[in-house]
Amino acid sequence: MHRFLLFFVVAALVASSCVEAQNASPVGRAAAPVKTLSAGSSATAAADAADQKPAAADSMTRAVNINSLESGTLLKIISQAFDTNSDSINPENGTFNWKGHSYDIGQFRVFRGRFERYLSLPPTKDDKAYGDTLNQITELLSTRNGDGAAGNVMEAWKLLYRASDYDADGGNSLGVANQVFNAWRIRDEKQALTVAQNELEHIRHQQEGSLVYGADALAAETGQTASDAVSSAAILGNLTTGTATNANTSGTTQGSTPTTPAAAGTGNAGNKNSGGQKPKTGQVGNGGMVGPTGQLFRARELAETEAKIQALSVAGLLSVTQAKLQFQSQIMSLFLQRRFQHCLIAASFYRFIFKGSHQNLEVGKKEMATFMPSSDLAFTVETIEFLAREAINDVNSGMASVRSSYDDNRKIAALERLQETFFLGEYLPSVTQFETARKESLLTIYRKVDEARKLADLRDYAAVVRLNNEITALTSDFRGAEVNAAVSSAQRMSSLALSAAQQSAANGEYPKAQEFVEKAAQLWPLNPDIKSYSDNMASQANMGTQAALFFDEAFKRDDYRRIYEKRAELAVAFLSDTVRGPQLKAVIDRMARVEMYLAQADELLAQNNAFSAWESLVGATTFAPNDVELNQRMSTLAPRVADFVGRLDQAKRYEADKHYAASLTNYLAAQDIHPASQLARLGLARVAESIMDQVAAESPTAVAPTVPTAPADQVAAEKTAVVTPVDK
Amino acid sequence: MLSVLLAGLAFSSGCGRSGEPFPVHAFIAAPDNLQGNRYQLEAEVDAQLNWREGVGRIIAVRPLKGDVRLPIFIADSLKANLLVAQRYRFAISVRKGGLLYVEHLDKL
Repeated sequence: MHRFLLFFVVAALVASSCVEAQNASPVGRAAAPVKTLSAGSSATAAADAADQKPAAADSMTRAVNINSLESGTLLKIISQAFDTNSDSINPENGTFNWKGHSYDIGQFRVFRGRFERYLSLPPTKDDKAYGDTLNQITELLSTRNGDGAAGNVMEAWKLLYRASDYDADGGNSLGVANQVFNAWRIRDEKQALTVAQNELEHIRHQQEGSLVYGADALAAETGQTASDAVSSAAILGNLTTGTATNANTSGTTQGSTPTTPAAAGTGNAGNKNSGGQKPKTGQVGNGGMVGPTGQLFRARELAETEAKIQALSVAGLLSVTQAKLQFQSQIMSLFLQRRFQHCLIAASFYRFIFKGSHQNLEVGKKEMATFMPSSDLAFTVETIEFLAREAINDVNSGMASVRSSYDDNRKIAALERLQETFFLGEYLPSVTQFETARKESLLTIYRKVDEARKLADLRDYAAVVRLNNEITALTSDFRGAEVNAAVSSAQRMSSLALSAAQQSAANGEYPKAQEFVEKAAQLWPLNPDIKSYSDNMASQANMGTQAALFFDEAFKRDDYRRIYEKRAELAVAFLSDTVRGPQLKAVIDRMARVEMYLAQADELLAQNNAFSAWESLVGATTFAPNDVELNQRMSTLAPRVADFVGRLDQAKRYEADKHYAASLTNYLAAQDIHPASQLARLGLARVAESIMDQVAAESPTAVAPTVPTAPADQVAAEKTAVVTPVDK
Repeated sequence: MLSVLLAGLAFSSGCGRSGEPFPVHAFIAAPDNLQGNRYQLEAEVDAQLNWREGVGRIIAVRPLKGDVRLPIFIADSLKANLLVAQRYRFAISVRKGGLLYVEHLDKL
């Protein structure tokens, strides 16, 4: 009974020491070698625990996998919280949407830089003066003031040059001024052409009259009608039919004009000289020749004049058209560049320079259609003006919204509105002259949010939380709680993945452990536990090498005691060692029994039963014959049991020499010394059997028994019990 | 009558070497030295150590003059009925290996 109690006590001690070793091991509880270290009944519990480990690891795996999906959502929440971009802006393709039209803002990074620069730069006095100048120009060109008086237009034109001196203008006012100047020059050229054209018209009338008179005179001489003469002359002189017709009808339309002396003298415009006076031969017109040849020359001169008039007319028309197209192009360009004030100014100039019939847009129709996709109206310069005014109004209302949000401490909203308003009205005074203090405040938030977003991308959650708290203190509309929750979730999931990695490592599933560690690092790269885990794994690998050397050397010398003393560390190190692991388990089992025998010997000695204690120690030698502790105990005890040990030893030696009878004698002697000796009892049984074998093999010669009958008095004294077997 | 007495003397003195008392201590110290000898041992049955049918039994006996138990072999052919505490005079021979082989036994 004592033996069983001791057995359970020792087993429990071994198991508890192993558990302590797990807790102290670098791998942590996951590296529980309970299964390998447990003995006896504790092995059952350890085996159950080991069976439960894969299930726990599986459930953890599932949790990590599920949460990794959610973590994507959580990280999106963080990103969205730190995204101050307006919905109108699409950073992916670098566009900004306004009224269905996409403005190309180029590289978004550049745009952000421009916006940040805007926030950081205070408005200058020049900005205000420049804005005033543009407003003055707009006022002068307004149809409400002076009804477009030439003086106002000229004054406005001059102010354009002044406006162009400001840096903020970017030379756009000069461009408008030049365009206006160009239009005016073309108008002047057109006037010059008109004068020249009128002169040529006058010459043409004279030539027509001369030609008609010559024709009449020639007809009178030859008997042909004037029309026939003219036709003949036209044919000969390549005179066009139109010209001939004009010549024929000129007398009718301009009969009142005394273009020729004859006509002037007769006062009969358009007649056919049917009853008129006949001029003298050779004195037709301006002293020219009256013959067919003369007529021919006159017709040619008339044709040349007509051609010049046509050329002048076409040239004038072309120059006007060209000026109009150029002007419209510039207006459109200014609008698309979001220079809405300049667009309005240029449109006003256009209105003054060109007649109402030239207001239809010839260029930029396609671009205008993008702003008004549902309209099939004809686009005019006024349409651009309307859109420019609309944009200016939007910008002004946007800035009002910015101020309102700012005053309500909703600075994130203010930042978003300012960003979209800035892009649309970057050059408008309401944007450029936004208050410096507000801009600085928004810039602080903008930079912190941007930094937090970048840190969130890097998953530096500690810094993110710090910035998040700072931003939350600055504004009331920042989604700081969501960010903190998302960060906490990501951190928790990272730790969960790391725990799963530790579980897998403890089970020797290193690829799986690696996978979980990567997942943990992906969720939270700066997770401090990852470093601890890596350090532990490295030290474990190092410890594994050292442990292998130690174990091999001790195992070779049968020094199980040293192995047993370091069983916890070695068990962790040999978790995945298929050779040393089982060897270690065998050593631990063996030494656990030795310890049990030692404890038993102690107990027996305490009961002053030295012989039984000795037998316990002898039992332990079976498992660890070279154990120092055991041998020390035996040497200490040996003097007290010398006779007993001597007999047993002698018996063993005789038994080994097959001197069974002598061996039996010594076993009996030993049993006499210690009647409860298990060694002696077993030795007796064993040797007696050997003797029987021996005797049976030798076929002993039986002596005929001559057994006398025992006296009656002795028989009565005999014990009735049958001789008991060896057990005493 | 005389011849019977002479025979008895002869048995007790010369021809009765098997009647020598068994040297217990000498046997325990060096059993091989006694191999082939015959002795007489008066002892008490202490315990039966083994028995094999058709072969015999091994009995632990305690000499009447001594406190050391000795194992002896009694062949089944002797047809002896032994009980613990019975005293016998055993005629024994020391066989190979120190086996004390009972040649004859008399109950005391």
